[in-house]
Amino acid sequence: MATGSTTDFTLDSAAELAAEEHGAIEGKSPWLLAWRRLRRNYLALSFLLLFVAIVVICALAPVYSTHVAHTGPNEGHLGETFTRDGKQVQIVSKGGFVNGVFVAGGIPVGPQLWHAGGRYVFGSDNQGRDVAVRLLYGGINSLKVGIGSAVICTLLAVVFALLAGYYGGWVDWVISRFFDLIWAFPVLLLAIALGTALSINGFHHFGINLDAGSLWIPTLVISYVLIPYVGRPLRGQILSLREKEFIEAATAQGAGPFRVMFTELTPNIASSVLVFFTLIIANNILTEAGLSFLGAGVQPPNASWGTLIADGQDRIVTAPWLAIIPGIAIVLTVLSLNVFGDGLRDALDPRAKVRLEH
Amino acid sequence: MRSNSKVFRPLGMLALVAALALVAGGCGGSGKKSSSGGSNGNSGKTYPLLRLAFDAPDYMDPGLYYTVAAYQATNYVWTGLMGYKHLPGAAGAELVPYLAESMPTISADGMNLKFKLRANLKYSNGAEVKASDFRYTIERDFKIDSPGVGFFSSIKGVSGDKGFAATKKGHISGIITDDAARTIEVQLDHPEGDILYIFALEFAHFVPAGTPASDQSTHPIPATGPYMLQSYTPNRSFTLVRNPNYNNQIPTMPSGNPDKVVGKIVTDPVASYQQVVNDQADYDYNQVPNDRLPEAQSKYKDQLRIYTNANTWYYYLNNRIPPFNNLKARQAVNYAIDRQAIVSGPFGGLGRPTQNFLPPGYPQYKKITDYTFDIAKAKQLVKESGTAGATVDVYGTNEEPAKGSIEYLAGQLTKIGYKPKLHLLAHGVYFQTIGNQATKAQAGHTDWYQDYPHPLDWFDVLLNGNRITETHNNNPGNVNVKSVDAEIEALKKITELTPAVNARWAKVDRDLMFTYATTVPYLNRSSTDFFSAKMDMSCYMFSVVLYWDWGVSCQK
Amino acid sequence: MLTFAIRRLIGAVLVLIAVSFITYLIFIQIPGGDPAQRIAGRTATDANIADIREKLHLNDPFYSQYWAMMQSLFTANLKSYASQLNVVNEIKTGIPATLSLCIGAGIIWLGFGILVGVISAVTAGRWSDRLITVLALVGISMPVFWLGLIARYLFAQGHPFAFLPDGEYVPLTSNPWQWFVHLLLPWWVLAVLFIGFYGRVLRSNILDTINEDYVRTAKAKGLPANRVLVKHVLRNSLIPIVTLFGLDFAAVVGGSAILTETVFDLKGVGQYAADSVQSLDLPPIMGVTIYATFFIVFFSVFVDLLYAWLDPRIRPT
Repeated sequence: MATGSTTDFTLDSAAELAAEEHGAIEGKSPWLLAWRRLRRNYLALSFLLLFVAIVVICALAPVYSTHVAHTGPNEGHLGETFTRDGKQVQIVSKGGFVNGVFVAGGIPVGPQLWHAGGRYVFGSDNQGRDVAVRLLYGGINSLKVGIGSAVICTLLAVVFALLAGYYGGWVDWVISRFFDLIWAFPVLLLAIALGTALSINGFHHFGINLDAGSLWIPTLVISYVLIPYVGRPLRGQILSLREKEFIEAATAQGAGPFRVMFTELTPNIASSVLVFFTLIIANNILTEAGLSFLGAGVQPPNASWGTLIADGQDRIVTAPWLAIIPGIAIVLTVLSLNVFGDGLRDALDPRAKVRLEH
Repeated sequence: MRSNSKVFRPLGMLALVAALALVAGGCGGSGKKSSSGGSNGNSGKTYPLLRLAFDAPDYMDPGLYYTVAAYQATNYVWTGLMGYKHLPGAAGAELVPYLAESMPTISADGMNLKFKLRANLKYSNGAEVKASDFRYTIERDFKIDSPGVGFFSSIKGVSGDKGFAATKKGHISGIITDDAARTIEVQLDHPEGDILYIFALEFAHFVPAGTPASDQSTHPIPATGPYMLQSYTPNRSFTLVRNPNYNNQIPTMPSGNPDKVVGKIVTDPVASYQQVVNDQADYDYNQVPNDRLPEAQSKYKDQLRIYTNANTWYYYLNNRIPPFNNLKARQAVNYAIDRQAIVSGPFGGLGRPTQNFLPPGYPQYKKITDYTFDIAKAKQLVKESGTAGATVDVYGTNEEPAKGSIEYLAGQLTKIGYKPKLHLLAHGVYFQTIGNQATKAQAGHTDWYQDYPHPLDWFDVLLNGNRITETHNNNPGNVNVKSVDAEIEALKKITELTPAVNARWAKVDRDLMFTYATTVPYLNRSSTDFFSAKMDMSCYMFSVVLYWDWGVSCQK
Repeated sequence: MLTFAIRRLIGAVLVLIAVSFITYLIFIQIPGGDPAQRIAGRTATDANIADIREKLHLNDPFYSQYWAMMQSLFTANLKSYASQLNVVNEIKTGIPATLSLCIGAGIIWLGFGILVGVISAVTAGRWSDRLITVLALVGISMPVFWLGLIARYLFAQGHPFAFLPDGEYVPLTSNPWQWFVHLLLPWWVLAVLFIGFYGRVLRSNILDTINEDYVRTAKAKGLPANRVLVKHVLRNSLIPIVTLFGLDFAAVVGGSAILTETVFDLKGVGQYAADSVQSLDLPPIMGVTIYATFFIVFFSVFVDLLYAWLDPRIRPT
């Protein structure tokens, strides 16, 4: 296999990834150097600002919902009207048979911007729900799943990588085979299979009780299927760190395994982890959208940006904003993370690479 | 998910069988002479090619298929002793002899039927159609586990331990054929009013003796009708061409106008609609998607046809467990539903609001109009019932428009003070899930398409408390009103539907829907037929049995 | 080399078995998923259901059911619960669409990825590099299904253009031109995401390689810059790209094309997979998972061998 790692039969196909993991680890205060580099990268910083802004705006969803739009995210208004410039307008157009003549209906009202006093700023969906409100609440869900799964995935990957890299031997063998197994699964297929199966009755085993509609289901599914994508390169890094003198020195001084892992090894992979983490959030937001689009992610009536697009595709001709607006929200969020992550990588560790899956 | 959202049309499985109750009234047969229906010959309107954008048929083997798609596509290919008149509307439910020379002679006790085949009948491969092929066809059905075998259980020698259904050996003793004399005699264990309708079903459509007892979908079985299946690739396409050996051998059915029919299987309704618009197909079998309805209605008005067959879409409320074991709570839901809003919204206008369980058009139908949409009143009723704040597990399928209508229900339940929890399932597992008492579904969506036009098909099958089961329950609301159950049982015994009986049925409808508010019917769904500009709509014919009759279609 | 290949192959087979078993376990416990009731339909009788249970061996312990299912899958007899169609046949009919999509998209993303990567590396730091970087990042930030929807809306549904057909797959054998036209949008939609990524990877590879000693030596020897770029830099920078391509291609064929196929209604294996999962139809889910895993696992073995062959520094023993 690639570098000096063990040569048992492995399905490690990330030759390219594992090959390059013995990057430079010297420098007095790498974090300070990195910060100096990052500070000069205005592009990356402005996109970080954009991401923070998106998070804050989504977090304000309840305020917007009560004080501006005056409707909840799942509150339908079929058959009702609202006032635009003093006139009553149908929220979802009427249809049916009028004196035996068929009239097509069900077309939601388009974006009103500020003409309706804060209602239907981005229009309505086919249940008469306020798209702007759903966009914000959907954003909360998308971000929760994206960030939550990135946290869980990264934490587990770091723990697995530390264990595998530090102990080697059968521990490494078991963990590597576990990585291989998930790696071999078609990611998206595994994710939608798990997501769909769990979204029917939830998960009620081993003392864990997750309801069918719980956000934890997509969060855990995504973190689970992406573990090897983070875990493998980290394991490679730790394997090569393991050979370094300072680890030997620490061990010789009587440091126990946990001490070595957490005070010696972890700081040395922290920069890679940080870069991975940023990019994995971006990736997971996309994955969540894909899952929700296929009905295997966030469950109705709750929204996420992915489910909003999925709902919108059935109305792409008569109500194109339904699919377009949440898509733009995803692109902005993911782009901001990608640009920032890119800058962060340049600043911290120009060699870290992460394989993005779509 | 659109790609997955199949539009389920009913196969009037028994639909066919059963146009009987109304049309044939008395009891099958009686050698009633009927004028040959439809136009025989093709009245000079033939044209070279008909291109269909079609839904996937389940099989292309008359012993196995059971979907409207396959039925509609092949009703000019394989034929039986009996068939339907090709006439518009309800008149299309009348039976005429197809391969039989005339209506059969039926014994006084109704247990013996004698058919005679027409002379010189040929299969599309040139082979002679023999009387013994009929027995072979029925026996083959049993050998291939045809979904239609249940229809033949009254034939002598079929049922019982030593019957053909169990042994699948030897022959069915109740079918006696004579190839030379072209006669078929069928003996029954007991009289069966709908037996002639059964002989018109696809499962009794003639196949040559020796046809392998396995699915022959992709090895087309020789046809007896004006067309033959030339090729079929599952999930891709099928091609029908004229049967070279037809020679107008069934004068009671039209010989068909298109010389060739190519059915492309397009399950995505947007794609099939677009193909018709782009003149890549002449007929869109799928429902025109809501998103394209405004365009179809304005730009292609003349090419769009809308029909409403006998169906009811309704919300069931679980009458057995709280909160909907409470009358006021159920009434509240009925008041909280704006039926017109559902028609407009999720259905894009394709539907007619209803508060009745029976679809309009039944002689037993008496319109209920008591529930005017009134949220305030609904809230008040919930308060009075003392069930406010209860959680409600709401079940529905994840395909539009059912998904939209169940989201609407959940939303309205929230508005009147409940805490609904939405469960959306795949269509394939939905009915067995809600049909299982262990699921404890408290409310949800379901629909019913008539099998045969009789109130029994509605109230007995769906709402008779005596028929509630633990699993595969067809009464997911556990509707069980003792007095009404008794009335249904009493009415079951009355075969003749006099005005007085009809009025009693109407009262059952009113009692269950209004007095006891057991269920929330909301609409009768309408369907679309959409055609390319090439088609001459003056030839458009829709019958309750055959749906759009493509054989008599013509082009400009 | 040979023992390495054999060991990897044995591992691959073990993984296939494990993957199929896990998939089976995921779906076997779904409540309401009783295939017998589903096949029997809405107006079934108890006898009917019992009969089907018997026929499908649904009363057997789960491991022997698993075994029976795998047997019928590998003898091409496995039938869907929902449609009763043969799973292997359905996968076979889906493969041309999936391969057409993936190969075409693969050619586009590899070609344009290399082009973009070389241009941005050669012009590193200049505006063209910056622009490409931004575009590449926009490309990898778009959900593929959304891009597909918007592309259909803009180019196929008349808002404002309708010069491309709207979805659907036309077999190459029935009409090559229509095949090409129908696939243009899906190819580009699928490729856009990868072009950005490949461009970025290649750019950094080239920049790394340019600083290697042998490249400096070549330059010092006075070789023309273009020749150095092509002969020394590009050749070595492309090795990781080739292996990456192998893995990505396998991943796309083995399931990542699900979203693109679904959006464009191409009826390939990916869409079959999505439909089967949504309708909780276990037999096709098993079939498709094994098919996809096969692709991924064996491609990764193949890629490792190829990598070892391309780059003699990494020779497995």
